[in-house]
Amino acid sequence: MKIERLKSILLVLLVISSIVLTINKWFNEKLWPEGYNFFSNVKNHIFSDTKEKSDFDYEITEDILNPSKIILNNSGSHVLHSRNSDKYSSLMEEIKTLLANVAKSDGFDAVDESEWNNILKSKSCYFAYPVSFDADFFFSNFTDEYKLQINAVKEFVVCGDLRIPSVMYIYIKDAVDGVIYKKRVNFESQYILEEIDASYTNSDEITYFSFELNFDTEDEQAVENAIVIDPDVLINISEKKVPVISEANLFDNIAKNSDLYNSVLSLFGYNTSTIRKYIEKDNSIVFVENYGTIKFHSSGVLDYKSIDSTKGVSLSQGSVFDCVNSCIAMVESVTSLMDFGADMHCKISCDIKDFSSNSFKLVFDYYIDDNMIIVPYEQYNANHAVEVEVSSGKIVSYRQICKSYEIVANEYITCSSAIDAIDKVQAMGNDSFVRVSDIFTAYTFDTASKKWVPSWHIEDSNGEISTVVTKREE
Amino acid sequence: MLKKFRIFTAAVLILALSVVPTLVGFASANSLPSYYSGTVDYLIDIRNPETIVSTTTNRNCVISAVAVKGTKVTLYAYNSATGAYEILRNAYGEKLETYVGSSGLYVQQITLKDGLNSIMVVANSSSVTYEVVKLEISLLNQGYMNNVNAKFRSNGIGVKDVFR
Amino acid sequence: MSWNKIKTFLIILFVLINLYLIFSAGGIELFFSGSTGKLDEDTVNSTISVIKKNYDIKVDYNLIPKKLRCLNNIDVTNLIYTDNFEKIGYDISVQDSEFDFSINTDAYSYNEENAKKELVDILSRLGIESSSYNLAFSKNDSGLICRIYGKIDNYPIFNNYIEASFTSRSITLYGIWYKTESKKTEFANSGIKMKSVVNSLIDASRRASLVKENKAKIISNIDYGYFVSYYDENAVSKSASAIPCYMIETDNGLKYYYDVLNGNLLKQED
Repeated sequence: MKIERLKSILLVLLVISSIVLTINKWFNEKLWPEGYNFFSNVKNHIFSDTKEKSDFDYEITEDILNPSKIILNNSGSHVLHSRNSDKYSSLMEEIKTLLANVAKSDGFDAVDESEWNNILKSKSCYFAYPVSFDADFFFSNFTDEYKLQINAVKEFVVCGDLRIPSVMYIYIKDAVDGVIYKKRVNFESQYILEEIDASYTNSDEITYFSFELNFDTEDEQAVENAIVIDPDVLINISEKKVPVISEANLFDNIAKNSDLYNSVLSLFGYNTSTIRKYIEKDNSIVFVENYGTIKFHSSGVLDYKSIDSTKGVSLSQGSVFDCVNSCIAMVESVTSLMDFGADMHCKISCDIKDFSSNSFKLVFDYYIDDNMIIVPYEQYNANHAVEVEVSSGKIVSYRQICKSYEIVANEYITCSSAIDAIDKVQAMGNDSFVRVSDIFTAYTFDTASKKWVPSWHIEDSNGEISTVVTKREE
Repeated sequence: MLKKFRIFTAAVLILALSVVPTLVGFASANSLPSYYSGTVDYLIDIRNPETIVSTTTNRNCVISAVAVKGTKVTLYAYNSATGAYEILRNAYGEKLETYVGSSGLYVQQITLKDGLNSIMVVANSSSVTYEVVKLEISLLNQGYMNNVNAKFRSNGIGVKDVFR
Repeated sequence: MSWNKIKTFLIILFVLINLYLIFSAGGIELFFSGSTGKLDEDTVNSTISVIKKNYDIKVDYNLIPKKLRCLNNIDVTNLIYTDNFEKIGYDISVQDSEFDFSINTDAYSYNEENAKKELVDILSRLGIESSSYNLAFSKNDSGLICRIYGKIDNYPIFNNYIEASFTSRSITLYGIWYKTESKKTEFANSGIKMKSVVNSLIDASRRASLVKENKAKIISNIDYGYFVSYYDENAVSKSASAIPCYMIETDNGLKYYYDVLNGNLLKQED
């Protein structure tokens, strides 16, 4: 009996093996008549290089697209929460659900700017993005359909009703024409309301919106030629303490870090067996493949270029915004491979408009807290930390600065008040400087001391930015 | 003859010395009389509070203004005990006097007492050229607000509607 | 017939079928996990006739490799950046990747045997192991010449080349060399597709036919090995990749090197 059992098993195995061999042979025969082409066996058809480099379709985690500022307003006190703040993530979670609910139904009414201002003066939670997003793009991150006739979004405010405990309102400002839309929300966020109530400025940093100081009007009385500051600009009227940061080159010794470069290569769709590797005299490492070149500069820059605009890393081929999301997801994925400091995060620095085709350029920058790290143009020949060019749905150029920035513990630099900073700029005699559209602190690289120093940056209505280094060393 | 000359010289010196303090750096007086008023009206425009008489529920009040570049702005608060305006100081005891920079913008946060605060803003461009603006800011404290709130809530009117 | 007998019969039958499938063309590839380039007789013959007809160049049937296993790229290091080279102590002049040096010898007459011994010694001091090259001696007016060709396993590395001249007073070496860490070649996995040597042959013939002086009449050699590719013509890199390459040589001394994976011409030598 045992032998018979063995024979049955053997028979089954032989049958299977013949089937496999037949299929194999069948594939051979199939390609044979093509003549100049060589065959590939069954395994090729499963693992092969023959199909188009796979589309890059990782899920976007939305971090890059999150607001740069969340301000809790509580009757005149304004507390800024940026990415590194504890409350930031929890507030974001709440707001996502709220936004999804809000967008789906009608009920938006246009209101006056004075109402927006009053809400910011009393109890509310203000969300601002670094750039404006086309409305279709903005809402697509929360819901499939939205019912608000709005062009673009850059800021919105959420508040409760002082009289009725469970009612909330949302105010969304159109970034293009400035119209403010208000809607009552069928969603109660106890968490947000509690946070607003509990918020108070415990530090010496005093901030006010320009409209609260009435610096946003051109109403001239006795004093002429007064500077006008856009209403929603947050002004520090006291000194601001900014942490000191240090820089580390992640590509120092990149030639030996095969884990890192191999993971980046596979993200760009490179086949590690056919790729050609070159190490240059300065220890930069270059990888060349049929479709493009990727270089890891030992100075800390990642540089990818495809050989022409028809080849490159394929992105999602759905709508334009699918393509944009896919590009952003790619940037997030590459960024997550790098050992960036925990305090650093990456934010988009260009408006997302309705790009008419799948060809566009996106730029991103690094931030520590709400302070942008400004890329020194002379050193990198670039204005932003990450620059990506997409042509017809394919990434044809990708450039990223791979340096890690970290906060140095317990070291701060005190910057003057924003008013002092504006004084300094005016004193330098810039005639065209009449209207301020943004004031913010950011890190710039001082080539003399070779250090990153925080300084005030003042943006006028033309988009020109003046940097004021007014710091006092602790 | 010599005695008259000495008296005359002494008188001139005393006169001169009395003028000197007002010429040198025009240091802000620590207190000013309640009738104190300005000599000009083109040095400063108060932007906040928007009206001479205002009320607030917030203990921190921010005084903002646009002024002529180089103007020295000093803040005083009326002290009913002395009947004069006393110079305001910050938490470190420093006087609240600032020189307005090239931007022309002036901002200063002050802490209000309960009830009526009479604030005097003095803007000097020299010891003889100065503008005075007097503000009346009433701080309504929380207890009072709760009472008001309770009274109006029953009528369905919110406090903010009333005090807009 | 009982079920048992049927089973026995079927087993034998399937064993035969399996044996047939394995040993007939195609089946055996399953055991080679590598990518291979194969040519059948018809293709080869039609290629030969196309070349004869269009370019008037003869190709011998036996010269064309009918079956080649695809090689993997190999990382190679430029000799001039290796430790041994830097510490060697000779007065070496380097231009781009090419190095050049002379060693003075006392009046000495070289024959092939002692020249070879001397050369092997010098090369090993440079860090070049004897398994990575072939020597070819010849004589010219000034003395003995040895050409050193690079290889790995039995595959030539086409652009590794050093020429050594032995005169009565000195030994001079010049050339370009890329060292490999590995001694054995690796074969590419089955996912990689090779371009046919036939394509390269036709292209080489076409190019050769354009050269009017001293026209090529026959293809004298077809070889398969490695070529150290350059990333940038102007940049000298410390390390590079040696990629699989076809070398096609004509009787008038023209040499053409082709990239196996995409069929592009890598280099043309006169």
